[in-house]
Amino acid sequence: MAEEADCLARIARGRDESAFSRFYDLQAPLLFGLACRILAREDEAEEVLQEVMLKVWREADRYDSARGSARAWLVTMTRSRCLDRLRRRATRQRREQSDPETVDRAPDDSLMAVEEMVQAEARVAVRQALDALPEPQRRALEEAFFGGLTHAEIAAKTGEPLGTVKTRVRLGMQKLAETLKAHL
Amino acid sequence: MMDENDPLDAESLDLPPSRELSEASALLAYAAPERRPPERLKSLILSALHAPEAPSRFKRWAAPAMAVAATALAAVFLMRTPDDGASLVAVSGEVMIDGRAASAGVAIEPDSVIAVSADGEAVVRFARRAGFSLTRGGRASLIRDESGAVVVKLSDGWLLSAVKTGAAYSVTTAHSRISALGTDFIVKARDERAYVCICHGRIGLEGDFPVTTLASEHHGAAAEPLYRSGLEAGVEGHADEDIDRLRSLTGLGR
Repeated sequence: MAEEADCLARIARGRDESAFSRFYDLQAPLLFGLACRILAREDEAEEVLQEVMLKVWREADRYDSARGSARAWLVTMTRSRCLDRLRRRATRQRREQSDPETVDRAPDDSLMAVEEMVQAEARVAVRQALDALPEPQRRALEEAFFGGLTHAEIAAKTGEPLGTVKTRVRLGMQKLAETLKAHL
Repeated sequence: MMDENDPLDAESLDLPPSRELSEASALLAYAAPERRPPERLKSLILSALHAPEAPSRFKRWAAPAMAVAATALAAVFLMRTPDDGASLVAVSGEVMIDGRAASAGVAIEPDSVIAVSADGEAVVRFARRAGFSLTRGGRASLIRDESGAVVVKLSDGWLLSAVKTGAAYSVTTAHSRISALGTDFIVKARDERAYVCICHGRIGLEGDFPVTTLASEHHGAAAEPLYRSGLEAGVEGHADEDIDRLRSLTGLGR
């Protein structure tokens, strides 16, 4: 994460294009993968990635490391935009089915610089941490994170009491935070 | 850094504020398979870095129109215009013509391809007879049809059009063709579906159904033939102010 923070600082200080290019290479696969997973549409995921990256370029100086990591800033921006689009789709009742080909591609093995290895380790750790959660907790977290569903919406979808859903999400998040402490 | 209403944030889980929880939530992104975006996207983004940001007046105008997502892949639109030249009269965000950044004032030659970024807009005027606003990552090309008339082929995004009374004007999709006389209308396409709102005026509709004439005094259309053809009708993502602005920019007046 040190390199991405350095890139962000260089973008914020002097609109350094080479730093931006490197930052894009480091972060785009994660953010694009996230957007594809949430939106299940590659064209819309491209739009979201474009919006987020241009925001980084224009507003890198607004990033406050005291409030959270650059990764959290980026993921939050990306996810918020994706969920906005999902909500608009739902409003139009045109939500489309996921295309498995858009979400199941393996990471490119050419990305093996140190920074990418750190990300790869985080990816493995997150998957292991999620796999270690009880199934209902894992499912609730995924519905909330990727589906953008509220606690009430998850409860309605699963037929579980709202309190149960909330407890599952809370316990799941607490376990994740504890398990992934080394990557936070 | 998470949204206040995020179901994963500490507040919504009745927990004290926790940076660790926010960071753990962000880490969930790693549960999605990593995907390398297409190379062209990086080129597009890099070329947009120095594009001027939209003025606030445009942002206010654009907000309602941008609120409804619209992309199109399969639909094709054709707009007949007088063969008297086209020019770019307003630009916001990134606008490319034939792959090069374009600014307001440039002429658009037949066979040119116009592309706008997701937050961009290109307003094109055809010698004060017709004009359109291309938004939402739209992509269009000016071509000549079989009769030699200059046409616009739009393959992506939103197309808001204003037409001077008497000017020939038509829009074609994979399944339908919309011809207008003195009509303002907006068209959106997505896959093989399309959306049309007749803001004011009359259109002729052709497709896998009988030729139909539709009219609306104020945002709407007789929906049945549109639905039959896979089109949808009704007001979405635009307002009278958008038409007024487009007419003003293209010198059409009311």
